Amino acid sequence: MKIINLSFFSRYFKNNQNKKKYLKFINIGIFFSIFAITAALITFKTETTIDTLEFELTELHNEKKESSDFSEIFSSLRKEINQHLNNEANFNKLYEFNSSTLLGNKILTVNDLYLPSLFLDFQSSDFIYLQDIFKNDDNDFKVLEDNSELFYGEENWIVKGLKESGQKLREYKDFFKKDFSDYYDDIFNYDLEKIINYSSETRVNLYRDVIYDDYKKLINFWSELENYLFYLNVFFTDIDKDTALQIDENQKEIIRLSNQENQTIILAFIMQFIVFIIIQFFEISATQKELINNAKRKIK
Amino acid sequence: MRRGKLNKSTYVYLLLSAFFTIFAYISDQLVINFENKNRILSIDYDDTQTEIKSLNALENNLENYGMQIDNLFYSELKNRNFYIKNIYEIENNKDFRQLFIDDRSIENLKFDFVNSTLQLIFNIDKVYENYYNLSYDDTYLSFENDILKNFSDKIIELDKILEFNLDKFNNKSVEELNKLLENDFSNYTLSDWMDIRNIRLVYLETLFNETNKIEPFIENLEKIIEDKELDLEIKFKNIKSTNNFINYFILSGIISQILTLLFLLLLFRSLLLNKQI
Repeated sequence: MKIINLSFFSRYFKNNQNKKKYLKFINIGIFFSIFAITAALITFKTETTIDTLEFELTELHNEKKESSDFSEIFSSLRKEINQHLNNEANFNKLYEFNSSTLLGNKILTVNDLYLPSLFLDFQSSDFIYLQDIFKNDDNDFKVLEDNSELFYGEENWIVKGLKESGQKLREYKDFFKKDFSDYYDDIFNYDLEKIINYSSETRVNLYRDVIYDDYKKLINFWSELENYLFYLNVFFTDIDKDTALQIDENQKEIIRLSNQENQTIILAFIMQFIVFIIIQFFEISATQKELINNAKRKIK
Repeated sequence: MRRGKLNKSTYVYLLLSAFFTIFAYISDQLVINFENKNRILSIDYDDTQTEIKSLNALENNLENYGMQIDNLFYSELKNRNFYIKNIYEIENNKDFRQLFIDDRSIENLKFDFVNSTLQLIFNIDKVYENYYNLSYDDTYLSFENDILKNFSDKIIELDKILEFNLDKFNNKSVEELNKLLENDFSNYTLSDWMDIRNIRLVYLETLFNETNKIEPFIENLEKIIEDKELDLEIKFKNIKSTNNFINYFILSGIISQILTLLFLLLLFRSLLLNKQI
């Protein structure tokens, strides 16, 4: 089976007058083909580099999203802790003031005012998670502290604050070992006798009961955690800013490469065109020389 | 060399043209194949993304409702003994009673006690509505468990809660206990007031225990979301690498087509220059 009908081209090119003209057209075609291949190769090379950069860009976008999410979570947690602490403080102020009156002194005990918060906080899933974290010295937060040092350097105020606050939080390790679920029966107590026959030592304004001490520790823990989350919030906001800068640089590099691709293609075209002109010049000269020699032979 | 016979370079150009034509065809086929693969990956990626959004919405709702319950616990548990202790002292301690400005203040305190108990029932009803509606959420239904339905069923059946805990009350029937919240309280004894206090506590205790049963479901939900996000990241990388392959195959196809043309042109040039035609 014939792939190319050579007889057609044969008839077409047999005319010697046209031969030179067709050769010129073929040369132009070859020139454009080589140019197209060069352009495609330049595009191939640039696209490969851009693909790598785009992959890095995607990673950076993911990193930015992650740091923004963390920053938002820490900010939201701080808001919740502050709200919780304010509610507790407002409630306690009012009740502690009432306890200092003859009326309040008769009806308010540490079991009424402080125990519910201790019991509920220690039962909550978030608190159980925090307990698990600070029970171990080598925890997720410790990794964050080390990462902050890598990010800012040892002397930075955020690193110092984070480490100091983290150390303070880890000191609550023994406190977390306490089991406040034992107080279940005191919280859900249905016996009137137990409610009214309380020890005078459990009065609110004495500030020396074990439950009060634990409650104070709990409040201090929340305050310290809020402080710790503040540093983490700043840290992740800075990571977010830094990633945004890297994204910006990456995008600029992609735009630069795209522009450079066009310029390289134009430059390649010019260079090849010059080479083409030179080749054409020598080819025409050679053909003319051959024609002159043929003419001389014919005269002889 | 005889006219009409092809030389060695002509054969080489011909073979190269044929090779690059086949290569261009293979590249085109690979582009089509990878496009199909990419389409399936993109659909899967979009599905996972939508699924994560729905799961996040479910988790946020559960967390918000959980916070509402927590707020209820913090205020209610701190007040759990406040009214009954006041009433006990008023009934048994004249000195304490004299600390109140007048009898109306005492009546107000008792009214507040009953009223805040009704308010608590109203709040539990709102909690029920939240969880009941959520138990018919499409995302939740896909889990095929009855945890939210059971929770809402359990907390809305207040009479059943009372019936189950009758040993904690002085009035020994549910009807009597319900009437305590409806009747004029001027003749109530201390044991009646204690029952009102215990009605509140029984409801709170049930709510507390039932809420704790939902926690493992929320934890599981968080884990599922985490896994799905990881899965989404892998899918995204797959789409990205498939797209890269598609780009490479398109460019290879283009280069092969140009090379085919180039070798054809070289073939014609060779034929012309060697006077084959």
